[in-house]
Order: sequence, then C-alpha cells, then structure tokens
Amino acid sequence: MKKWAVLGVIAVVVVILLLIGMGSYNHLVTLSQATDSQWAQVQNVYQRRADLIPNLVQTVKGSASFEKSTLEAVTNARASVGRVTIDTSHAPDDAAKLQQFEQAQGQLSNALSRLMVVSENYPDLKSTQNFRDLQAQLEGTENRISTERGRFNDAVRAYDTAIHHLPTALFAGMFGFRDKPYFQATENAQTAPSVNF
Amino acid sequence: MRVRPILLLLTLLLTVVSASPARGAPSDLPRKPSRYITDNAGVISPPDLEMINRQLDEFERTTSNQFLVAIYPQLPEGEELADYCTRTFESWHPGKKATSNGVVLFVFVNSHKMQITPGYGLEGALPDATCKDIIDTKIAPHFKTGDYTGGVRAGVNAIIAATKGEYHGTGATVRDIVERHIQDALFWTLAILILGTSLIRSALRRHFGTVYGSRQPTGLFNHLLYAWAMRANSSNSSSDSGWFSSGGFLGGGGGGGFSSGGFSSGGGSTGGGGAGGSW
Repeated sequence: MKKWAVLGVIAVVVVILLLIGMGSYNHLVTLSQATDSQWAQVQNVYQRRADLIPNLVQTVKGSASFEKSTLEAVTNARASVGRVTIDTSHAPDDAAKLQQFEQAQGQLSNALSRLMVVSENYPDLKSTQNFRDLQAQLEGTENRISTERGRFNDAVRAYDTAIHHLPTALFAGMFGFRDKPYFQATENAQTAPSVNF
Repeated sequence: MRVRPILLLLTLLLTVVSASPARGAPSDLPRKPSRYITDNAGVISPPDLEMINRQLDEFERTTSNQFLVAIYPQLPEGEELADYCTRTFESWHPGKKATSNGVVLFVFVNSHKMQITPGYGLEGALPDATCKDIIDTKIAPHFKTGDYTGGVRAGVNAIIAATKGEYHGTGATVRDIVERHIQDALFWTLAILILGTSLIRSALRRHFGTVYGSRQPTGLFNHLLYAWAMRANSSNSSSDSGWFSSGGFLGGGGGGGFSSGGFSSGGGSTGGGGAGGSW
C-alpha cells in the first residue's frame, strides 16, 4: 500500500514536471519567434532607408557644386552597410555580429545626417520638390527605424528575461535556448538625423 | 510528509507566475479618446467639432478607416514629436487589427507642432512625402493665421481624399459592433437571471404553495425574448442599434442627442511613419 502511494506521488511529480517543461518550451518558442519577426521588421526599415539613397544621391548631384566629400561619405557608408552580411530572417545570436551591423548602420545615419545639415546651405536644392519628398521620406524612415529597433529590443528583453526566470530557466538550457543580443547604442545616436525645417 | 515536494513546487510556481514582470504602457500618454476629434486646447468651436466628428464617423462607415484628430495645448516637455505620437497611436490602436487602417492627426497648438501618423495599412495611401505635403501646403497656411478650424478641416479633407479608396467599410463602426455585443451580453445576463429566478420561484411554489406565486417573471422573460427577436431583425440596418433603441442607452450609439458617433479602437498598429511639421 505504502509502495503504491510513493509511486503515485512520483508519477504526479513527473507529470507536473513534464507539463511545466512543455509549457516552458512553447513559451520560449513563441518569444523567440517574436524576436525573429521583429528582427525582420528592423531589416525592412533599414532596407527602406538604403533604397532611398541612390535617388537621394542622384538628386543632390543634380545640384551644382554640392560638397563632394559629404556625398561621398553617404555613398561609402551605404556601400559598407551592404558589405555587412547578416541573417535577415532570424534575430542574431552573436553580439559581435549585431554590433558590426549596428556600427555600419550608425555610420550611414551620421553621413545622412551631415548631408541634411549641409543641404541647408543650398536653397536651390532644398526648394526642389524631389528633394523635399526625399527629405520627408528619409525623416519618416528614421522614425520607423527607431520604432522598430525599440520593439526589437523589447522582444529580445522579454525573451532574455524568460530564459532567466523560473521555471523556464530550468528548461531553457536543456532545449538550447540562449540569450540574444539587442541594440546597444542609445536611441539618440541612432534616431532621426536632426532634419530641421 | 510526502505531499510536501509537490506543495513546494506549487508554491514555487505560483511565486514565479505572480512575479513575472508586467510591462504597462507609460502613464503619461494621453487618454484614448471616445470621439473621432478631441480638442483639448479649445481652438475649435463645438458645432465645428460636431461636424468633423460626424464626417469621420461616416468615413469609418464607408471605408472602415479609423481617422482621429487629437488636439492638445502642447507637446509634453522632453518628448520627441514623432516618437510621442507613435507611442500614443500604439496605446489607442485606431484601425482594424487585420488591416491597421488607422491614421491620427496630432496637433500641439502652443508648441506649434503637428504630426500625421498613419497605421501600417495606410502607409501606401499616405506616404511620408504626402503627409509632409498635406501638413505644409494644406494645414500650416491656415494655422499660421490662427485659423485652426480651417486648417483641421483642410487636413481632414486631404487625408480622407488620400485614403478613401484603400479599404471598404461595412456601414457599421467598431463602436456599433461593440455596443451590439454589450447589448447581447446584457440581454443574456438578464434572461438567465429572470429564467433562474422564475425556476426557483416555481420550485418554491411547488413546495410551499402559492405564497410566492406570481407568473410575472416568466411573462417578463417572454417580453424580453420578443424584444431580442426584434432587435435581431433590425440589426441589419446599421444606424438603428436595436432593442435598447437608438435613443442612446449606451451613449453615442446610433445618433440622437449631442453625440454623432464615437470611436472604439479596432486594434490597429503603426510602424512610426508619416511626417511632422510646424508652423
């Protein structure tokens, strides 16, 4: 009789552990997928910015005597962004990789920011409809970038927190869930270049 | 003694569940409006507000787009315009969940700033350059002369013109549907209550004679059932919201009185696009 009671208790404990393990696993998968889909959004908005640049460069070139060095900085930064290869469908798990990506994008942000500041000195350029449209698109895209970056960080933080919280923490390592890195730079360093109107 | 590990585990579980971090929205964001246009700065007259509200209510009926205008005295200290508007949009969720076809025109009167924030689903109809153009050429010229009503109306018309072809409405607003659900829930609660009491009464009657006897509750139930059937018949017409009548039982339903319709969020989302400007 006593034996059966012991066995019964053990069975109950095993079932409970299994249930918790399954729940934890499903929870982590959901959170991990959220970071992936948010990462895809981040990639989208960065790509959107990159796509604006050829048109922007072309438009600015049309303005006679525009500062060459500023324009070249943008072109170069755009090229180095293109050289950073990063998986666009999965949130990065390598902090160094993300940092490299972030650095390249940061340089492009700075170059674009300088371009916008310098363009203030070219009233003929600023008054063209094409440039104004591009400026609006660029500003909107920078806002989108900061929005999606923020949401990506939120998603990763939720995931990282879950990994270290009980009872999920007991199972996270077993199932191979590891910490994911998030964007380090302060929002200000990355958000909209101060485009003044 | 043997039960203890399980108890321990359960306690552990409970603590973990209750200790999981709750991330609430920052409390400094403006409250979700209940009408399509809200003027917290007092720059637009009530009749004009009423007219624009009716226009935006009609706009949701025909296109399902939820377009809000929110006017405040100023942008809170230390807030960045686009970021603040994006976060506010996300706490209000205008637009349908599936299509995210919401858009908000924010105006901060004393800060001389405004922003058009479209939801994901209206980014195609309202590209940033279009938003910027509406702000600079349609709205700002009016605001510069202090004509806030004219500016808002011009902006509303321009945004409606840009977004009206994108989606199709069903003739009902989210508010209508929410109200219908509340009415249904109320009906069933009442019905179950009345049915329950009448059953108890008849049971009591059977046991204790007719002291408690009165057939009225069952009669009332029949009345209710009849009213509900009528309501179901009339629910096809969108403007009449049914058996509680359009007299505004829940406020702002199908017209009548002061209100010409209200906003209930559909669950839309924004990616932070659009444009800002000043005057």
